[in-house]
Amino acid sequence: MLLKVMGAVLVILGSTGVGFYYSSMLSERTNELNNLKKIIIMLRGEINYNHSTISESLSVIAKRTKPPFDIFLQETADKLREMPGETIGSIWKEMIKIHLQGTSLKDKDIERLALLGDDLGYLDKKMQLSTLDLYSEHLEQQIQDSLTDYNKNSRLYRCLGIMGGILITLVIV
Amino acid sequence: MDVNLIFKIAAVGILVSVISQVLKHSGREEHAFLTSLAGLILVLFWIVPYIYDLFETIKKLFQL
Repeated sequence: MLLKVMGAVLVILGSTGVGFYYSSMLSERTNELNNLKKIIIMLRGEINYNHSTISESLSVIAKRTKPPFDIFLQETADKLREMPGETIGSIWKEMIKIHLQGTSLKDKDIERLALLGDDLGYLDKKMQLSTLDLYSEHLEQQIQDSLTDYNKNSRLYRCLGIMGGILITLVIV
Repeated sequence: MDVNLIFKIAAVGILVSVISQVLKHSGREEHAFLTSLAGLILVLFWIVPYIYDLFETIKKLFQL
């Protein structure tokens, strides 16, 4: 009897944990998009005022950013400094694949960020600033969408987690 | 057949209706419908053996 009760409690706790985990992923996505927006603003500032190269800018910004973007930016800057003969776009995409796949960002966020790499370092300063402004607008839209998503779905995931656990317990016991 | 089955069916019914309402409120009517359907199938799965026994008993009783 005691084992049954313990099992039931474990199942309910596990299922509740899964629900709360999915709910927290939604808020984590909003935080990461906000961090990304700060990075773009800093990059814009570096290009506009310091006239520094992409690798120098990324290195400076990496020190002022939170994980996981700090490692991503630092590794990208180091790889660009090595000058391995690849384009910025391909190095950017490679680093995204290595460092940003485990984050709460959705596939479409990562795809759009990867596309930014193709436009970095293209033509003059004005073009780069315009590219960053365009990406910034897109990010703002994504942040609004993620907030809507969070408000709509976070309670749902938590409720479903708890009730799903109780339902599974009832079926098994 | 014991009384626990009736309580289990009642609990499943309540849970399924609450989950269904939560899903409908979030705009996921299809998921709500599927949840209700799943609950119904589950309860039928529990009940059908007893209904079968009932019909067998009636057949034996009236020697049909």
